[in-house]
Amino acid sequence: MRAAQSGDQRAYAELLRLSAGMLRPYLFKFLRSSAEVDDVVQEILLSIHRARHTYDGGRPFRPWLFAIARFRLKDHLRKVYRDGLRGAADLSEIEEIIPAPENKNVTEPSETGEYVKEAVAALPPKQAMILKLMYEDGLTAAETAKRLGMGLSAVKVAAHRAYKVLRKKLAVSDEQ
Amino acid sequence: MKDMESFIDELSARPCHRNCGLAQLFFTWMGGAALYIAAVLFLYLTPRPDLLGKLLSDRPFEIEILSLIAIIFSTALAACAAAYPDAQQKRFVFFLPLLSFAIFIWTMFLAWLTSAPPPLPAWHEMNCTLCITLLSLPPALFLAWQIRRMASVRPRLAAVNALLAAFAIGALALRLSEPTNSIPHLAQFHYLPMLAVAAIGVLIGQKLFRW
Repeated sequence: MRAAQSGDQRAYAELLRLSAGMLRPYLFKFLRSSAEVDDVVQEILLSIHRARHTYDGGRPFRPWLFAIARFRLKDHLRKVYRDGLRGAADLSEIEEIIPAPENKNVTEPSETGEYVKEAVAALPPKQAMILKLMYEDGLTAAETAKRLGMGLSAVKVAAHRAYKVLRKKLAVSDEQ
Repeated sequence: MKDMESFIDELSARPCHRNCGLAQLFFTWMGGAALYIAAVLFLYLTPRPDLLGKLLSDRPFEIEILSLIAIIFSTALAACAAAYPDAQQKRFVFFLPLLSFAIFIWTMFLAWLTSAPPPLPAWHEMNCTLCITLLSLPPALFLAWQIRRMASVRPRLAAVNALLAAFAIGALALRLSEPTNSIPHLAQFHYLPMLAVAAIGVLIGQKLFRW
C-alpha cells in the first residue's frame, strides 16, 4: 500500500487484486450469489481507491481494508433490505403480473380467480393469510400486521416472499 | 458491473491523492480553532474585565476553563480519528471525551455548591445559547469539511464529536468574554445545549459524512 500511495501503479493493481481475493471469502458468508459478491467487491475496491490517502503506512493494512469492507457491506445489505420492502409494498403489482392464460379471456374473473387461489393455497399458511388479507380483503400492511399481531416489517417481508413465490409459480404454470 | 481485471486496471491508472495523517488533520483544525477563538475574543467580543484576576486566583474558574479546553481537544481528536476507516485501532481516543466531560461536570457541580449569584434577566438567557451556536458554526463547518475529505466508517461518532468540539469553542469564547458567574445559568444555557448538539450529530452524521 505504501508503494501504491507513492504512485506505483503496478503495486497498486497488485494490491487491489490481493484485496479482492481476501474479500471474496468474507463476502460469501453474507451474500448469496457470486454476481452479488462481485458487485460488492467492486464497490469496496472503489472505496479503497477513494480512501487510500487515509491509510497510515505505519499500521497494518488488513484492519483498514476490512473496516471499509464491513462499512460497504452494511450499506449494500441495507439497500437490499430496503428495496425488498419497497417491492413488498407494491403488492398491487401482482394483478398486473399474473399472466392471463392464452386463449382465455382476461375478463373471465372466475377462472383467473381460481388460478390465483390455487397458487395462494399452496403457500405456507402465514404467507397465504397475509396475501388473503392484503389482496382479497384490501387491508394495508399496517392493518394486516395489527390483525395478525405481527410487526409491520415482518408482514412486508413475508408478503414480499409470498409474492415472489407466487410469481414464480404462476409463471411456471403459464409455461406449462 | 465491469469485468474485475479491467476495473482494477482502470482504478490503478487513476492518480493518487496526497496522504493525510491524523496528526496533520487534528493540528490543522486545532491551529485554526485557536486562531478563531483569539480573533473572536479580541476582535468581535471583548474579554471580561476580571478575566486575568479570575484566571490567576479563582481555582474553580481555572478548572472550568481547563476542562473546556480538554473537551475541545478530546472531542476534536475523536472526531478526527473517526474520520479514518481504521479508527478502531485507536479506540482509546474515543474514551477521552467521556473523561473530559466527567471532569467538567464534576467541576461545575463543585462550583454550583459554592456559588450563589443573583439571577439574570430572562432576555439574556437564550441570547447566550444563540451566541454560542453562531460562534460555533465556522469551526463546525471547517471540521465537517475536513472530515468529509476523509473516509469515515463511523459517521455518527465523527459528527457528534465534531459538533461538540465546535460548540465547546463557542462556549469557551463566550465564557472568557461574558462576566457571568451564575452556575445554574451557565449549566442551563451555555453547557446543557451540548446535549442537543450531540443529538443533532447522531441524526445528521450518516448523511453528512456519506462517501
